[in-house]
Amino acid sequence: MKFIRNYKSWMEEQKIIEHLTSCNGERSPMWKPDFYKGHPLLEKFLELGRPGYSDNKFCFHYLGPDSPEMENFKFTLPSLPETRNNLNWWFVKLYPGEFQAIHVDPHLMEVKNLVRYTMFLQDWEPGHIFVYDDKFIANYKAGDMFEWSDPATPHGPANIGFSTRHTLQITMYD
Amino acid sequence: MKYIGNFVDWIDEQHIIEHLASCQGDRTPVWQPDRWQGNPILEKFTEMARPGYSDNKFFFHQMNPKSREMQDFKFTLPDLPEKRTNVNWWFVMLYPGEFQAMHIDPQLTEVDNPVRYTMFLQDWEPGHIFVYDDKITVNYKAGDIFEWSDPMTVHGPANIGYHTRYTLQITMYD
Repeated sequence: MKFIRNYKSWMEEQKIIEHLTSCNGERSPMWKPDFYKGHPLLEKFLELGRPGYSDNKFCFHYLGPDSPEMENFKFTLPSLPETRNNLNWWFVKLYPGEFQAIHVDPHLMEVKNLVRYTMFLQDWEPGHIFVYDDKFIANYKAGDMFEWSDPATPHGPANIGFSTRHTLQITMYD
Repeated sequence: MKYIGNFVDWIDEQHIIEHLASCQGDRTPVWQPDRWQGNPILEKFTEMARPGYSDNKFFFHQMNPKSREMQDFKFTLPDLPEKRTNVNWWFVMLYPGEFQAMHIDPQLTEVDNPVRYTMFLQDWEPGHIFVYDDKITVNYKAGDIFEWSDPMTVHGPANIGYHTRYTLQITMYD
């Protein structure tokens, strides 16, 4: 992962944390077999995940442009070092004990000139986990943004700490 | 964490994985307020964990000398580089999605000459996580033992991968 820069002043100007902490987020099941179809790699992960996750005990939370709790919250995305024709964003909100199983994003392998960013919205806390390949990101500061544009690298976040973990995810492509 | 050596021969000779894979393990709540009492630091962790974990949604699995599934399984602990008068051991079995919240073990500061070991019983897989302070342990091999004898260092394991994660924990003291 490549450190881009710190956007703390953007977070404060846009009152991002104030809004996210006032929202519940949308509950998303960990096991989404419909999402994991249409690509051989995704179908491999679907089969890997079936024994451990198909009972749907686990979920995580997110907020995207279509989330009801985002409809009345107007904000401008930060000025990024790269621009593309298409841009998707969503906030991931992991309550204590929530996670996303290790996965890859093969749908992003099929687009042109992909760039993917994660912005950490709080200072790092023990138990706030992001694993990318065999690396672990710790000691980041609120507003730190990283680029990690290989969608075939296994990755996953988890929260085994004590406070809700908030991040902003941005993907862009032509 | 200090690497001690590899004990894969011991795992094979004692048929550890075969036995663990045949067991369910003891279902143990992540939130154990009774266990986190009697020490001001543990009580602080109890209060930190209460908002996220006290609804008791989360569990992990372990087996210790009192576990029913260990009663008929006879094995000898590996020959470790340190000896102490008292030895405690337990196996931690984390099914996919299971974890222990970040914690410390201040009860081990009240004993003489504590030593703590973790033996990883499988080769590392993406999603098998052990966080110790601000680091994770990766790319280990089955049988690798590490010493990590500072009980005040915050730590916690998680499994956001696809196979059950097995470790052996040993603490010793005089």
